[in-house]
Amino acid sequence: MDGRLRNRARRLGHVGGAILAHPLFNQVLLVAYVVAGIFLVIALARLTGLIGDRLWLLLQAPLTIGAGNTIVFSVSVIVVGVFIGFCLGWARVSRHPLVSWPATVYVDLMRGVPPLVLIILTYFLVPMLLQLDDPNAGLTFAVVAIGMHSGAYQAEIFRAGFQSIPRTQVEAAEALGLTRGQSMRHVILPQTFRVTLPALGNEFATVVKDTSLLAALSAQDLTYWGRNNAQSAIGHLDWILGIWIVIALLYFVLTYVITHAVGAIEESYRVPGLGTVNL
Amino acid sequence: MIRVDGIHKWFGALHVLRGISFEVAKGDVLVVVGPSGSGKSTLLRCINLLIPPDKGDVFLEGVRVTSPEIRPEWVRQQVAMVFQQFNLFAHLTAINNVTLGLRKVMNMPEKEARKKGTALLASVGLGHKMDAYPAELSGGQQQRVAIARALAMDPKAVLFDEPTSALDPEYIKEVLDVMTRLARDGMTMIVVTHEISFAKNVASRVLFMDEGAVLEQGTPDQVLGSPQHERTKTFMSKILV
Repeated sequence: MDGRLRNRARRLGHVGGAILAHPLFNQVLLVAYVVAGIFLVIALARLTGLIGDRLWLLLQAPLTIGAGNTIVFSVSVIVVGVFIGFCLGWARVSRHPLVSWPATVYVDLMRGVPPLVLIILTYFLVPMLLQLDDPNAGLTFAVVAIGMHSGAYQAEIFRAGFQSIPRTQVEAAEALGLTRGQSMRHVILPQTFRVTLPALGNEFATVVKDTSLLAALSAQDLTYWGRNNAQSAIGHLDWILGIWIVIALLYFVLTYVITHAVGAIEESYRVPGLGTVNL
Repeated sequence: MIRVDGIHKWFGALHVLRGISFEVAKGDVLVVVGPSGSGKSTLLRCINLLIPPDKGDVFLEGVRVTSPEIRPEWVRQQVAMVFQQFNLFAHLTAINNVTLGLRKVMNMPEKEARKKGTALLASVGLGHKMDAYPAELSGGQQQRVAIARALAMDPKAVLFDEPTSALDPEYIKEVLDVMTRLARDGMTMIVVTHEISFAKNVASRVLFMDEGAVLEQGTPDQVLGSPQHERTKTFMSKILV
């Protein structure tokens, strides 16, 4: 009986020890501290009356609907962006001009249009062309458009990633009898993935803040609710400042969590001699 | 075992291989020497079809591997290759470099592949470096892992493309020792190298190439000891033995 208990305790200690010793633990802990700290500051401000009843009421929408929508928009844009970026990045290193050339044109075009102009155009133009009546359709396409814009930048990140893998790695894989597809899957992609992660994390951070442009189309994200509620607080500069400070903090939290999540993935796949400096 | 029959290769207007023919018997070690740019590396790559020859044929145990019906992947399983720059997979540990082909090409179960890989790494003296990444190994150690990786597929022959040229002098011997043992064990090898003493000690035949053509071939004593061709004489007099 005693022995069994001791065994279990040791096993638990083992698991606990493994978690504590894992290289990711410190990073996760740090992010948790920072995020908890920010919410603690907001809660304290509320408890001490620094955030009064009226301001607290004005903060409700940004803290709930606004933050929720910004998260949804950011994740959607990142998913669309990575997909497009990866495909186009791959297309750009293709030896066939019919594949690489359209990808190059796409990247050049997208990089040349301000994202705000792009989403306004998409918002009105695409539903019209597709003859859609759904009033939310325009917004959905605008979200996709930001993803496509980010995709152009990510295409360059992936292209650089693919090009950074020496041609001799493929040669070695093929010399072993691996097919082209197998070389891609087991040799090129795992290395490209490690090389591109830091730059991708950076791009994701940019994209989170680009979603604030959607407020121009009345998408109810953080920025929209900030502007909306700040308008109803006209004459109370302290409230207006309070609202925007909280919104800035929320954007910070979201960006911080995403970049450090990418950093954590980077850390756990780190291989000596591959990839770049730890940030 | 390997017969090369009149192969030609052009890179654009550049005529890199001009009708090369030779034969390597089972268990033989053919050493190919010659100045840089003479087409030695291209010749090796034509044998395992990493570079398809434009004209001529390569036979492996009587099978014409340059025939369109033959999958190049199959040929490369039979004829392994060791590169000048080692070309180890940078994201894989030594053991996984050795077992990648076993696991993905031969579909060998993980455990069995690991067992074989462990034995191979031990045989090149790297049993203690199984879990090291290429960047953590010296050049000599990387090249020995690369040799173990080539041997993992149980090849019928191994091609060596200047295996010691990228090494610091202190690491050359450990690689040559592994190669010598491999030759003594009866492996069929084609070795492009500037290590003349290795050629003298290990080669069954030596082939001298210049400007994409074979100028001279024969026993090490003939080609390296008393070369007949003017170009071979000049080359031999210029290099350190």
